[in-house]
Amino acid sequence: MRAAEKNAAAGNRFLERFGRGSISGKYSLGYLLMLIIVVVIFAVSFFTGEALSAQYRQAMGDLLDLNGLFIDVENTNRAVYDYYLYLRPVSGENYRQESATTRRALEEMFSRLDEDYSREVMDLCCMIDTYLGQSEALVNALSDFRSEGSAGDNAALADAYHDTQDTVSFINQSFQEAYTLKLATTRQMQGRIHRMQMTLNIFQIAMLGLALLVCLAFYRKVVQGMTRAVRRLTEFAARVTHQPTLQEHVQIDTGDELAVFADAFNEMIDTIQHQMGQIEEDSRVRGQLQQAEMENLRISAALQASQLKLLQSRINPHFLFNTLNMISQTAHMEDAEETARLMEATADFLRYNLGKVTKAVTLADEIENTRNYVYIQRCRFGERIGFIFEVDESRAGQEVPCMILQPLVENSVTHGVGSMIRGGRVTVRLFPAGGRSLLEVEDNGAGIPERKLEKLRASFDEDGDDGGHIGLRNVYQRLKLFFGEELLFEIESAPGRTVVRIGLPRALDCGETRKGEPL
Amino acid sequence: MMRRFFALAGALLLALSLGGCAGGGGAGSEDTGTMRISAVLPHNDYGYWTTVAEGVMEAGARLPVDTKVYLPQLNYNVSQMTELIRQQTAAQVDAIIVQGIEDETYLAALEEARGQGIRIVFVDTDVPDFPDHLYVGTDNYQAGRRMGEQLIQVTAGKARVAVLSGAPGYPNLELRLDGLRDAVQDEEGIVIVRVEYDQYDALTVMEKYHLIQQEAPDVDTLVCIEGTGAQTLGQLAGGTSSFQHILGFDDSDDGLAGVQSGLIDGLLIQQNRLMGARCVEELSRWNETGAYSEEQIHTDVRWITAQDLDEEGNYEGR
Repeated sequence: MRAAEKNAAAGNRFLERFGRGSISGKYSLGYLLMLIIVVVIFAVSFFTGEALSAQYRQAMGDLLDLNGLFIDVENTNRAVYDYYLYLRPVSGENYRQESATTRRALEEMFSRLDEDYSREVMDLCCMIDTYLGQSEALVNALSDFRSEGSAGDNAALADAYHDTQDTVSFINQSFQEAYTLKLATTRQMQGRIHRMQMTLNIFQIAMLGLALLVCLAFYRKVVQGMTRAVRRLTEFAARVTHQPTLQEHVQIDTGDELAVFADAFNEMIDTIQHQMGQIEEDSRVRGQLQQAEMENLRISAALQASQLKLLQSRINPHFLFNTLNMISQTAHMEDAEETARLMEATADFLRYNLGKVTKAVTLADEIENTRNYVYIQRCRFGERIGFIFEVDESRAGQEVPCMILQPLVENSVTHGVGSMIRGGRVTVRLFPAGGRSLLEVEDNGAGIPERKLEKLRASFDEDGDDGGHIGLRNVYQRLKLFFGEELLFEIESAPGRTVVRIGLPRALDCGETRKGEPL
Repeated sequence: MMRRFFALAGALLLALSLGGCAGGGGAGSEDTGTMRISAVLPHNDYGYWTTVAEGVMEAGARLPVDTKVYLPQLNYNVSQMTELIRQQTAAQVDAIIVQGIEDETYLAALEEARGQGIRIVFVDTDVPDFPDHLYVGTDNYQAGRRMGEQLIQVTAGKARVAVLSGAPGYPNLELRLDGLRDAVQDEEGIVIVRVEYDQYDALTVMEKYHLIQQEAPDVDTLVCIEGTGAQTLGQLAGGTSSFQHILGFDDSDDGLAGVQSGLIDGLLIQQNRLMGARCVEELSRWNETGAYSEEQIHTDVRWITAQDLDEEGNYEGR
């Protein structure tokens, strides 16, 4: 029982080792086993067939030889008979030849008996030997009788002849017995050969069964294992194709090249996923950059549109600027100081617009520019609109995008107090609050209707015309771009009071950051 | 594992090859120097001589000799037995075992065989005058005397006796008859009235049985001094006989059945199996040493009665 278990364990180990080699090794071993089985079947069939044929040939040969010996005896006896009856010399010569042939066959049979003894054949051979001795003596006596030409002892010759014939009779009986026994032995041998053939057939069937088992083991351990592994690899490859971000590995434990291939495949998947992650990250960053660029472009476009609008509104700022300078100088020469001052304010306003519109400036610059605008507007509106500046100078160094304050004031004038006959007021405040710098532009105009105000607020993050508040949206967007999410931008409006409030994140001194950044 | 596989395949191949070669030798592993012994026995009787033949063959199988038994087609046919002896002489066998029969032609054939160097062994019956021979068998004269002693004992010394023998001229039977006569000659109450010969066949036994009853009604005791008599009478229908006593010779199933039924008073049994075996043993000894252990080998006889038989009719040592 333990031996059987050990054999089973050894078989399993062999199959395990058989299933874990390289593909070429597995196939080589499988083919080798099949070759061995085929060779064993062939060799056993060949040698056993040869042995059976040899036995059968020997049995048949013995029969034929025995029969041949008996025929030789009959031929010899025929010559004896002829010589005894007719005393013809040719018969005597025939006897010599036939008896010599019989003697040779007899000696051969005796030598064979040394290897394959048989009592019956031995008795027969000895009888033939006796007969040859008797017949030779008789033929010699007959020859003497013939050569002497005398009557001699006929009775003695007759007795001798009868003795030879008695011996032939014994030989005949013995031959029948020996031949029958040999025949029976041959039949037994045929039975034995048949049984051996059956054994050989069973062996061949057993070997074929063994070959089938080897094939099954080969199929189960090699072909099926490889097929399973290839199928898993294929299915995994298909899943990876449809879902490149699949966070799985294919497991192949065949221990052969497919396992190596699966490991390489897993590593490749890891590499691809890593690279895809990088690409996604790059794409995300690139998207953000593109978004920023788009924002810049949009702002630039808005700014350009604003400039264009400004240019269109003023036809040709440079020409106007130069003209204004020339008029201002003329006004000085003609002592028209007020006009000269108006011209200078207008020229400074235009210079500011043309020179710094794409650069960061300080709130002080903005306030100064707005003062120039206010001076011009006072000339326009006279005492109908009052402009008040409440500026905490400590916050005047705060850096902001160019042209954020003047559009607000202009917006208040245009949409707020511009239509008032008197009492219009626009207040510009700059003061610290909660760690921020608050910049407020307040007017006491008619205010913005609620629905329009909501629409206006909603339009800040959109492109296009909102119905007249382009300047407000332009300012908001550039501030948003400049300060990001930390920007506070509020519009409060009610009849008689509209406030645009800008909360700058923290007070940045001029040149501390963002200096020279495109706005 | 591979080594084991190759070893298994090799062993299988070798076993099959050897198996394929085996069985082709037949009977002949002996060399031609084996002593060939032919037993020319007289009777295929499924009794006495069959047992002798078995003894011959059993010893032949045990010893380095080749034994073969020849039987005439007709029982006790001396002419056929003579032919068989001549045949064996022509076959140049080394020894012939025969029963001693005082027949001129028979003995001439044996003499011719002996002249060609063939050893002659007489079994059961001796021919004392035959030169250079061995006798293995019962001392027939002593066996006759033993039968006489049993006759006296069974009949209490008073009987009119008829003797049934085999055939005239057989020395063994004559010796037995002589021994019987000598044993009872001093017993006045025992008279041997007549001697009949059954010719070794059952029909003649029955013929002689009834003849004695008819022609000598005063005969009350029948003594068979050869096996066929008791073998035939043992199967008498009804198991009864007009003879008061029947004494038989030799071992046979029917004879023992007669003893068990009480029809036969007893059997004087020879050791016939031992006879056949001793013949072969002595020839084998001669083949090896050039001499027999003795010139005459006498085997014992045993008187068996119903008391010696078990329920199945066998006696101890059979």
